[in-house]
Amino acid sequence: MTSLDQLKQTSLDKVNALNSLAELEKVRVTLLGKNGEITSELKKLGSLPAEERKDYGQAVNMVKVSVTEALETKKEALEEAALNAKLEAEKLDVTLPAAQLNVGKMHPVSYVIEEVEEILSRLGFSAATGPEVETDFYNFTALNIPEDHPARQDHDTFYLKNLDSEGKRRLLRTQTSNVQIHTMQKFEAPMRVMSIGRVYRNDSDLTHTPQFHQVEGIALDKNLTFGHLKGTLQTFLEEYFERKITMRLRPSYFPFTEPSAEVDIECLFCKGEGCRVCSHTGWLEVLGSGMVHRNVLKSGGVNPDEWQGFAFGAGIERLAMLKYGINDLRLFYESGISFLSHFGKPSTNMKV
Amino acid sequence: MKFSLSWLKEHLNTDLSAEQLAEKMVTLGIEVEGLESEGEQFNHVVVGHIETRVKHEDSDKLGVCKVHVGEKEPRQIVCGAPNARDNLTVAVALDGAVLPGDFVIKPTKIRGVKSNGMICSVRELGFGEEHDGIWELETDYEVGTPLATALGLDDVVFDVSLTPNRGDALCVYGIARDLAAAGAGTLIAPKQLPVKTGQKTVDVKLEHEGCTFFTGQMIEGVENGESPAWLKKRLEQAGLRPINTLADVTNYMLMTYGQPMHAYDADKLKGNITVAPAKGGETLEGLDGNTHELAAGDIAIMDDSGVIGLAGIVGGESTSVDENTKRVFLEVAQFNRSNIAVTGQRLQCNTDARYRFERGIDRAMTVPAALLASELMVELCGGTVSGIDTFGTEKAEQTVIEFNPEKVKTFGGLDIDASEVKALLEKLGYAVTGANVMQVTVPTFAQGMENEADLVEEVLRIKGFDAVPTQLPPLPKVRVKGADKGRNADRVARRTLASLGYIECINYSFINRQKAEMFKGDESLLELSNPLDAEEMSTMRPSLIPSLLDAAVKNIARGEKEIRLGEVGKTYTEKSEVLKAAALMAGKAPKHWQGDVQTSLYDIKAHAMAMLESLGLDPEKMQIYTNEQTGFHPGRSGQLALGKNVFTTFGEVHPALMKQYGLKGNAFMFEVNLTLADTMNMKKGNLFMSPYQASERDFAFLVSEDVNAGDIINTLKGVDKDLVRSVNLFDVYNGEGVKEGFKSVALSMTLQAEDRTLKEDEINKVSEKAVAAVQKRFNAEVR
Ligand SMILES: [Zn+2]
Repeated sequence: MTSLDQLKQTSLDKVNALNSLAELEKVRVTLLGKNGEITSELKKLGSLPAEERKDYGQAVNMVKVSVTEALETKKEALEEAALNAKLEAEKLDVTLPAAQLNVGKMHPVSYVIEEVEEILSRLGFSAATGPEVETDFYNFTALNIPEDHPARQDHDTFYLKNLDSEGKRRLLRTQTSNVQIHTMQKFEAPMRVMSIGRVYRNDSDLTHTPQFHQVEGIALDKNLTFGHLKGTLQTFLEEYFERKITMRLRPSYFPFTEPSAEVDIECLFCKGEGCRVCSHTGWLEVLGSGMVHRNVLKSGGVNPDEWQGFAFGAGIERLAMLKYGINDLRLFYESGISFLSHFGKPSTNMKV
Repeated sequence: MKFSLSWLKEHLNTDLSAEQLAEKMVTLGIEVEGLESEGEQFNHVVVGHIETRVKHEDSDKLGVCKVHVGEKEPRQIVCGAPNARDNLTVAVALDGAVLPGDFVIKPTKIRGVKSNGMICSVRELGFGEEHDGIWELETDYEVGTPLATALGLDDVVFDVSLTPNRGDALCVYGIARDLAAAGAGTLIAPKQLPVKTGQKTVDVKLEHEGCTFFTGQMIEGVENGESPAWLKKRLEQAGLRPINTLADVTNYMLMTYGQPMHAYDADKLKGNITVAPAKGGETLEGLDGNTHELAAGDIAIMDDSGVIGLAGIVGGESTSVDENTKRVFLEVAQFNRSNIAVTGQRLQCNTDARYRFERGIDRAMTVPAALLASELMVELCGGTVSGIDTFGTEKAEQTVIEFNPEKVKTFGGLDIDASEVKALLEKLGYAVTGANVMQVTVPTFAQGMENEADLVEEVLRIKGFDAVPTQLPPLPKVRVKGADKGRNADRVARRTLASLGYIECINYSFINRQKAEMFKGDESLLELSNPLDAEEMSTMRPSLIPSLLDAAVKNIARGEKEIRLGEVGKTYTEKSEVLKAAALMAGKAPKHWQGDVQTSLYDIKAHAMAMLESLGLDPEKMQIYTNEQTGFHPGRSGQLALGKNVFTTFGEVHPALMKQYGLKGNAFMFEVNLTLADTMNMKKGNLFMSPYQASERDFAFLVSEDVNAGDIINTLKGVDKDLVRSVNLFDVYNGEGVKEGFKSVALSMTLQAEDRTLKEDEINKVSEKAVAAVQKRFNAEVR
């Protein structure tokens, strides 16, 4: 074995024995640095006879190339090992509980209101608002419910001790229909308006809370008919419940509409077979509706010989209960975090 | 209102079943709340005949019977009754029958012998207590006949509910009339009795304008007592308690024809009768068992003894008929609906008579019903009728409505011929003349029919609302704009609360008075005169804060540890309704392995600012007020405002308020005035974007402890409005190394120009200016 072969062998042995990147650098310097062992062999070239230089030079170079390659390979291996060691050391238990993030929820009434508003808006209804503390006139008289009307007794009205600035008795609105009159007084027909909000009735049991929410729509134009009312309700109900709906209108009575109709839908839970939710009738009452009474138009300053139209109303809580399977009305007003977290929705998850 | 099928069928000739009739009623607007078959417990129980009985091979007591139940072959039924024997008529429960105790009958084997049905005892059928053996029927009905039919228990009772406009259908005859008009049968008209004028044995003076027509009949020589079974059954089916025959007849006639009437014991009457306005203060011992005090103007029925009845509402005890009654004076009259409504409502006296007068009676039915009633009384109690005396005049005029039949299409949406419209109205009892424009005379029984829309409803009702084609109207050409005041702020606030991590709750608008008092400020509160709960729900809330605190207390009591509740709703005072949003952080986040989450004043401040920003406002440009606010910690709360307009109050809940509500630890809350925010239109500044490098300079100042950090920030921002882009306060320190009564505040200022990279000397100049300004304004030392 020549001395060069020996140098090559010992150099490679050194490289192979390396365990760390720091040592690797040191070894690289002892072999290939300015005064390194292999570099020194190259320096010897000058002292060799000319005819030997070429061959020896080539041989030393080969040693240099193979040692350099070995160093590179070793370096990569050591770097990978180092990275693996680092990753191993940095390992975390991802099953540990995450940082606390408070996910807020919107009340079912709030998101159902948004859903309803969105659908009615697409049907051409603009939102309108009105006062909750009202006078007899806007809550009753203007809606064709005079003082001695039997319908007044059905309303269980909350009255206020305080009179208004004109000395008139005040009450909490029993229905959102007061907004109809305010809107008609302020805006000209034709119009399509919806109002949604809190209403109050002095009644409390399993199926009544003294405060609840209503949605109401009114459409006035030259040629709107009872058939258009049916079409609007059918579309509204199908969009809201996101399914095909079998609807039934029954003649009924509301002082502010004529004709008046109660709107039932085939029970969503038993498909009309009869179950607990529909009291075994196969039908669920969801809306009240009708053609706006001419006396109501007059109260709102709209000429009943020129304009006609329809109106409808529903309880928001009822719509929410039917769509989302909430079975106790009173839960809406108990502010229980467990109920609200379960049935509430994050604001980023609205349908609309 | 309840009535039976057999009763209805006395007035309606029909082949329809009870179910079919009920369905028809629904389409006519008569809501059917219940349909109860009398013999329901006898479903699948039939009349059977034991042909033979032989002893069971494996039992001494059991017998094997061959029983005919109307099928081709007799059935084999095993029966243990001692009285089971050949040639006996019995009640047999077949497969599907459900006997009391939810006992379902199905084919079975008893000691190895097939048994296909059950021969029942009286008790097994729930018909009585007898259980000595099987029921031995004595009946002429053929085998196979349903037992209910054999027992005369196959009637069905309808329970219907009528809307206030349907005075016409508040009686069996009225329902029959509506059904007949809709083609569900033919109406059987009541018997027309001849009118014979009476003797005016009792004279009646009408002195109240609320009573214009009054009839009286004297029936002498009656024998009063218990009513016959059929009459008692009818009344019981209607939910009425039978009293005695004379009284029962008046109730029966009311239920049949909708005409209230009253029977007086004529021997108890003192002199003649006067119908006059009450003076007020008189009392009446009513037949309802209550003492009623009359008010001036009530329609009082009086004799020489005083008030003996409240017209159209309730009769008096003193002149009532009883088992000793020999002479009856029968009153059938018409009273004004609004008089009855006002008096009845004041006295909270709900009677069948009042109910019908308030909803309107058939003005043409008074005399015929009076005659039918006296005839029935005589039939059941004997005696003779002297004839009928009438006082005042029967209102005869009928409303005539000018009606364009086209309206059924242009208003009702149903395209039908004028001739069909006419035919339908006539079926309903309207008289129609004319073709293109009809003159329609409203029948005396129809209530509240005034205009064309009413007639359209009648036509649609009879045709069925289902007949109207469903059609979506075209979108409107114009939209109403600007009627939705506050609506957008309401929606934004709800979403923002949820996005900030709050659970939205909705509380009642009325709260405890003391709690409301605290937050009313300079305003007057609104109070309910008839609260549902005089203690806790008496006063309209002037602030959302008491509601949220109450909700927190309730949740903590239920075991919730961390409370983050928000609400959006109105607040109310004498002068105004204001829409607000409020949020509350209370309790403690559960412990976390990374360290517990602490909330502070600065969290709630951030949330209040985020809320304002969501509402389109720029809280950075607002002033911060620190004067004390009700319910808030005086040193840890603030308000964000523009001049007089205060948008929000935020901060820590006052420890005294925490104690009052029984809450522990620290809590933070804000309330935002959405009504105000909605009216504000804060302009956005211009967009700033620069490709040139930004530079930062840090400063530390030593200032007196009471200097507001916010003022230092604003001073720095004001040094050069073109170049100072932002100021970030990154440290406040008053520990070791800082002298007593001082604090060290460290800030970094970012400078950037739109058109160039700032040179070192420019930056230095602004920095020097900044330092000088802070030194001067706050007497600060630079550290
Ligand atoms: Zn159902």
